[in-house]
Amino acid sequence: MRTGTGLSRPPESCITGHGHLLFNPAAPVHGGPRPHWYATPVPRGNVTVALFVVICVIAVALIFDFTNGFHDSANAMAGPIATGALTPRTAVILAAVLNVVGACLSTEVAKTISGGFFDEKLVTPVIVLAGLTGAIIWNLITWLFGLPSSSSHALFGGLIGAVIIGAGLGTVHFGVVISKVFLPAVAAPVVAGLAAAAAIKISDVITRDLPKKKAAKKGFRNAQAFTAALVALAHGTSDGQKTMGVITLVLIAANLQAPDSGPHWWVIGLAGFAIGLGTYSGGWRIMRTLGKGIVKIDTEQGAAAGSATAATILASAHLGFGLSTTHVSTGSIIGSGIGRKGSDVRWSVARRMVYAWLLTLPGAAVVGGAASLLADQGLVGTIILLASLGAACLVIYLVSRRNAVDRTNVTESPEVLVLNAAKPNKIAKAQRKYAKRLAKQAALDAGRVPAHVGGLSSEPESTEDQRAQHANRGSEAS
Amino acid sequence: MIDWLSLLIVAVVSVGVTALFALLLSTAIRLLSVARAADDSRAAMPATVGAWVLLGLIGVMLLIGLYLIIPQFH
Repeated sequence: MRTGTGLSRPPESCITGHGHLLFNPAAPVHGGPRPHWYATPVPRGNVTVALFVVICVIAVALIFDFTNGFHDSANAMAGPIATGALTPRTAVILAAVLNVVGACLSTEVAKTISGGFFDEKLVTPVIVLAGLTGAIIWNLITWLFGLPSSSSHALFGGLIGAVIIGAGLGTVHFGVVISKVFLPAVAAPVVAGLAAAAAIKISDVITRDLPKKKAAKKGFRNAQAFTAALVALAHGTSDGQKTMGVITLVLIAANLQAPDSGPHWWVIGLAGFAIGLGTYSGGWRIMRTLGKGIVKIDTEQGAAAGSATAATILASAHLGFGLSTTHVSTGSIIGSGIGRKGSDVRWSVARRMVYAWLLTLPGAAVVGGAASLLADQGLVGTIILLASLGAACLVIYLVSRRNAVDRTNVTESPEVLVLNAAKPNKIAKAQRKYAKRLAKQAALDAGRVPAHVGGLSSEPESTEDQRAQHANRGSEAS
Repeated sequence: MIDWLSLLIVAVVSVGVTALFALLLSTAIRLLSVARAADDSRAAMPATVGAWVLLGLIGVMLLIGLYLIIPQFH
């Protein structure tokens, strides 16, 4: 994500003090906006507790990095997978490698964790732990429903929730929240959508009535693969350093690292590995929604969406208005559908995504706030928080297994069905309904009628050539 | 507080660069397609050369993208 600016170095006075550790994890967070990265001599008995908190923050930061990877792998690769430009396995391997390379390239950790949303001095290891917990749980919930959402917004939401619980509502700068979260969430899909729509219009005009259609498809596929690779690399450089920044600042605050030094090699390696592993694991539920659920795209649309995503991300990163990769890539895909005459954009899915984007910050804030309440209870609270996080992850994973989406079935359906545990028949009904729609689609295909049925694909390996055949049949019939 | 000018610049640059990319790519693909469909290889030469020039420009755009992404370059 591009909207994040990472971590802030604590004030110099906070990181050069005395004592075994430079922060006091047992210090009460409640009771007013007090800085906690300050130099407080901590009794020796608390050193173990403080070290435990540091280890917990590092572990949870790596888990967040993993969820960030699998949540965002769809941003780059959903399009190429949906159009057949890359096979699912190749796509995630490519994205994972480029994310790791990107993470290793960006060793300059970001300067602030607060992002201007609240006073930097309010950030403590406990707040970071609670914020990361909120972000992880929100990421997993949105993944369960197959909804792309910004990991940076989730992290800021978690931190803001924790800060509100610790220091009160007045400490949050809501003007910054609107200008850096809500406005970009609306602007990003509009900008990227316009770019993709313009691209597909131009492309359709120029490539009309091509003599060698099949070769042209190959050209668009290659372009799509290259632009997807650029997006994956850009994602690694921007998001990889986020976790490195969190870990590095916690180490500095704990006096385990020199104040002005960069991230340790093992931090770079672990953060790169976590985001790479997350990306490789695919986030297939989100891939399915982005690649198949919003609009049925062909290779031209895929290339238009890919180039719009890459151009918008790079422009936003270098021209001073941060936009989320997730919002940009979603907007590009929608734009490629709007720009193509006759494309059927599923606005209900798009609407659900926008709701998820707008809810990401408050949703993660609620979880982060609750996590902060737990973490404030000292060692026992921190252990309960970690246990709760583990249990939540397990429950969400088990629910997702009831209707698993993986690389073998990611292109089979446009929908991500989530089982309602209270009504176990619901999923079966939904699957029967979907089977009926498939049968209807097959009947349409048999009748040689071009099918533009809301992004449905009757076969897992539905390729662009088959779609081109449909179009040709349609034109023959007319 | 909201930097509308930056947003406008980002929007214009994004749409402009994407449109340019689409223009180059589509024209290159059209020229290649025309060249392959031509019976006479001599007649196909201008289209082929034109296509590869445009593909080269696309390559330059991708390299600029790489330059912008990799922090060590700037």
